[in-house]
Amino acid sequence: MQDDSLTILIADDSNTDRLLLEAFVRKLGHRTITAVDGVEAIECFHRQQPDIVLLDALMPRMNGFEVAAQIRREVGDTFIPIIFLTALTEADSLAQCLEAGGDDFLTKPYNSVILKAKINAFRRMLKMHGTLQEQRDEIARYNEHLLREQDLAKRIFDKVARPGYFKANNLRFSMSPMAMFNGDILLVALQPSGNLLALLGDFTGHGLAAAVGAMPLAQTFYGMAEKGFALKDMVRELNAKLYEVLPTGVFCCACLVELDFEHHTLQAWNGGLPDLFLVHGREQRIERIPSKSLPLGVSSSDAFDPAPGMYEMEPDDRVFLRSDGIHETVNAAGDMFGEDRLEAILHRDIPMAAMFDAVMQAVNAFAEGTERTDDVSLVELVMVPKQAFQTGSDVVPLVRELQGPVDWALDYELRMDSIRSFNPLPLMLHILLEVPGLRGHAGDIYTILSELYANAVEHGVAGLDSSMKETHEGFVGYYLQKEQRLRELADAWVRFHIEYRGDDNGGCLRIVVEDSGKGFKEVPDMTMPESGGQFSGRGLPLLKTLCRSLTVLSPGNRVEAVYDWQYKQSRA
Amino acid sequence: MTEPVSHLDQAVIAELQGIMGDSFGLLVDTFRQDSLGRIESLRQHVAGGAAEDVRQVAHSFKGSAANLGALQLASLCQSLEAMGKSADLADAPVRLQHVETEFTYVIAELEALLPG
Repeated sequence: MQDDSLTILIADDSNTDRLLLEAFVRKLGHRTITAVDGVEAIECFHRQQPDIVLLDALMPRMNGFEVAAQIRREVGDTFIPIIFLTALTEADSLAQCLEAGGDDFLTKPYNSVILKAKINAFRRMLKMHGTLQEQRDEIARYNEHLLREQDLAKRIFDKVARPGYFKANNLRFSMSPMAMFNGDILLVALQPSGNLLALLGDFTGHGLAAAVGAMPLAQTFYGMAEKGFALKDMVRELNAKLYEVLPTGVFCCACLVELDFEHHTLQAWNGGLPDLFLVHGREQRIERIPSKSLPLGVSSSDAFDPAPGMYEMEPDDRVFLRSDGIHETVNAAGDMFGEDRLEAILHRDIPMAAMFDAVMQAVNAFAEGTERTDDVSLVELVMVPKQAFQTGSDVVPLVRELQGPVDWALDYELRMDSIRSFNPLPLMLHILLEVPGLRGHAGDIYTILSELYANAVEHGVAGLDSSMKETHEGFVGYYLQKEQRLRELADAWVRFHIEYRGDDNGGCLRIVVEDSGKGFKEVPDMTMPESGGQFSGRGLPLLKTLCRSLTVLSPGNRVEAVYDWQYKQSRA
Repeated sequence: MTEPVSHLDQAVIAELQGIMGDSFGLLVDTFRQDSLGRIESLRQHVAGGAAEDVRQVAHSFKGSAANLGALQLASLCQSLEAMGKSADLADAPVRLQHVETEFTYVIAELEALLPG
């Protein structure tokens, strides 16, 4: 339809009327094709693909109604106006024309004014329909493109989120397989200290927007967790990263929790997600951990509070993390599942281990008979004794170094201001993990560094006596006193001296931590304490089991640890 | 002196002549042949009592006649069509006679319009 002229098929067995109509149509500037009966009309239609079909109702061989029905079947979505030519006047006969697939009818005697008006009207409809189809096809192409991009985003999203410890034996979760499309993300990592870290996030928006945000989120999370950063530092950094990367209006409601299996404590930070439920089994008490901060990526200002709360847990106590999917689940009557129903299930007299399934079953039963709009994300983390915790997987480090420094030494001195406010361990660990193959020993290395540093700061610089830590009250008092002393001290230091030599089979790490303190009054007892679970005295004797040698150098303000390691069997 | 009664709608004829131009003669000729064929088949169907066939042929004849402005002829065809439809052909022979007579007037008038 480049110009305004159309190709019009005229099918009529009456020679007079056909001749006449052909002349009428040509006079209006259109091309004509003519057929003398229904069969010929179909043939002409196939051969010449007319824009409009004018059909006599009564024709030999195949009548107009049959012709119209067949054309409609053949062209499907394509719009071909069919106009019946008829001397019929009864309403029901005219209705029959329309029912057979006709779009209009033209009654004899023909009137050139009416014919012109009808053809013009259908030409406008054809143009409109053509435009609509073009737009529809364009939308279909865009949609296909979008689906491809979403598929790509999903693959990236899955890869980025995947290298987590999802098989940990104290973890259960339900995430929609379409999680990416509702913007929910779960990340689980292990600190070098052995603490388990989990992040549940809910991005505003979904699809690509969520995937774009998920990448820096996951990389920062896993990267920092691996290096042993504190939860607070991670939250601050995640916020800064997302604030930097995400456009305004896109952010991530999230909660981060850290389970310390040694001290049976939970650190939890909630920014914008529904309350976490901390279930204390023995006390039959549910503690809610509400959001106390802006979500990640909203603001870089002081309004953002990265400080986590600290909670005590006993073995088998559990904490539930969730996005808004559960309480926003709607039943057939349009009611929301809500907070109260959820809390009521946790209050029910059922075994702790059955709670997760009970919640999921209740939500599914509630939503029965509805089309789910938001998928449910629920995560359960259980406090277990340290020796009972199993990661369930061998997570391969993101990067497998083939080359790195093999022979070096490092001296690093922290002055008083740094000792008070800075945690040097992630930095030191970061340097050490650049050593080929040492990543697999990050837990040991972290323990050695942290214990030597704690020893230097607490006993050396602050001059505290570890026997204070033997009771819980003393433990708290001990740390209060530590803060106090560190505030008062004006001039003190802690020095790290690290030497490393390695070869193809493994290597040897020598770590000396020296402090400005006076040293020990007497050489500490280096044997392991009889019972576990004591807070004090754990440090240095524990290291002895990890290291080839551990030596306190006179006058007691220098401790040397020598750590040997070999490539693990699993090395590819 | 009175105007001779026309069997054709002059406005329709004028429009047809305008649209058909040189083909007006072909149109008249086609109409004549179509009509003679239809009259012949109407005779057979009326004689044979084939009411449905009478209805269909009369219907087509009516359409063509109307298209050429032969309104009286179209009206006669319509009454014949109605007889076919009601399956009562008692008066059909007489009505067909009227159709034939009217057709001779119409075609004479149309041919008179042709040059030469």
